[in-house]
Amino acid sequence: MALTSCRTFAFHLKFSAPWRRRLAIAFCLIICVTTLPPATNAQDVEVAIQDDFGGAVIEGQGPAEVERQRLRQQELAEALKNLIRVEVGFAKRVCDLSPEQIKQLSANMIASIDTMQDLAVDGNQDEMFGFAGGSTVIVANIAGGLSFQADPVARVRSVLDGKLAEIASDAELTKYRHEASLRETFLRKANIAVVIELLNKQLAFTAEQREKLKGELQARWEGANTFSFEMYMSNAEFYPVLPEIVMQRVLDKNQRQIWNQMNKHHFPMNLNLNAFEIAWDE
Amino acid sequence: MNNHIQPPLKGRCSVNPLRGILLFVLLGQAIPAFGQDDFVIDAATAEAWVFQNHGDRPQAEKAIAAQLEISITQINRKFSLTSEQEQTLRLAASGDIKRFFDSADLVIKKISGLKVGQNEFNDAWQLTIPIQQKMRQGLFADNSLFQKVLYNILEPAQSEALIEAEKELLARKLKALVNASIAQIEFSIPLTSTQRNKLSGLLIDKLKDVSLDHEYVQYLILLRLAQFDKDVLASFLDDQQIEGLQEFKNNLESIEAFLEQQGIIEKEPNDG
Repeated sequence: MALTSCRTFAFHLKFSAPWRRRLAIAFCLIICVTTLPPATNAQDVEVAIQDDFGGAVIEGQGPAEVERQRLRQQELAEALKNLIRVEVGFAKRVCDLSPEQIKQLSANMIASIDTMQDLAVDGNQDEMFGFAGGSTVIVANIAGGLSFQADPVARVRSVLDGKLAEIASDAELTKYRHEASLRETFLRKANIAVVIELLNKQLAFTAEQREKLKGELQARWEGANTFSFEMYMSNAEFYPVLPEIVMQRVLDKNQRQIWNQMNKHHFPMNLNLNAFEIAWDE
Repeated sequence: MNNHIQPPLKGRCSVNPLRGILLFVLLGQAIPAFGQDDFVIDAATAEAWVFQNHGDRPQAEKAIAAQLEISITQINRKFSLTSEQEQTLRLAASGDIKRFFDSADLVIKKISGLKVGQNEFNDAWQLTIPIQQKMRQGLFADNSLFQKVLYNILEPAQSEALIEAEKELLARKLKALVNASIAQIEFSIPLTSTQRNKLSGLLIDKLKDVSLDHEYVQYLILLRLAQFDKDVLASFLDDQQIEGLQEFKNNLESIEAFLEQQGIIEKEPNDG
């Protein structure tokens, strides 16, 4: 079971009222089930990952530390593999790739996992804080206790774009890029729209302010793709950290007074991944 | 976040378990060590607990004054209040403000100077929660004197304009929440743009009459998504996507029972 799920579950059982315990059980059930490793026969994928990380020995470190890092790398590889499954599934769906192309793309993506090691934060004691080691901002958490200091979804998508370019026709690549762009725009716009509605309750925007804020956030808010809206819905006393220059530009005096006293906090995105896509087994 | 000592985990979990766990981690370092000496809640700490982010009473007063101006401006954007109407509203607001600070003062008085061990510490914190909640929800929101008076002083045309504005707000909020939920689902089940737009339209239609003012709204959206008839989904999704949604459906059964228990939904047939 995922580490985060365990903590949440234990917490609810210990401290919550009975009905909340039931909800906690259900909630954790979802997390646990949806983060189960996907059923797959792709043994070659498993072998590739073990080969990549299994034999690594790092000079100057004790066996316990080497083992810890090895497990962490495996955990990261597993998480990235799930992301890759989803992204290959997307490419397959929008480009109608042949089985050979899917096989090749998957193999190339798996081979590139070791180039994404820098994504993971080493040590995740403070993942709920949104920070690690006191300064590194955690962008995303994946059930299993793994924290990321950069958006893993964006990285996988970017790598896949490059790998697809090697095997797809120009028409297929154009189609993929068009759909990928629409998907990202949808995510970004949807998250920004939620943020505006969350803030609107306190700040009561005019129609003009809303439009201006929408445009400014689309242009300047780096965290829009990894915004964890469900955390802010569940914890209504917290508001997202937004570019201050945007807020000061859009708000009037009374709104600024309120905005300055609102409780801003960064929540990492929670990626409860389940790769329903099993593209390369087909 | 202010620098005053914050209460421990137990006292902070009564509102929302997710919020509780979060606050525990957020505030964990500020939890005093009990066991050797009791802790005395001084007046400044009591105010800081009650007024939270605002820190103290003067700051809270400023924030509430700004909130009132925003509320009045917001109404004036929909239609112009007469000066008499505005005066009446401000009078009603002053009633809400007085009632709020009376309650806050009572709590501050009750907990100031208390010498507390861990249990009493939690009890003291519990007393501050309703005041914090009121401040967060806004003093001039639903059930306030301000709102009650507002609906009584409006001309029919003004009432209509207000209801229309509320409808627009709800439609905007629904679309935002549905689309953000779909975007989340896409981290597991990617969609094409055509599928995404179709799903968004179906969900918005399905949810147009439900209340969105609760913290479980995302569960509700996922539940409604999972409840679409397979034939409806099959008209625009492929087998793998439908299989993925089926997994959601299996997982959401207990959530459905919970939402029914909370009165958020009524039981309904799976008619797509």
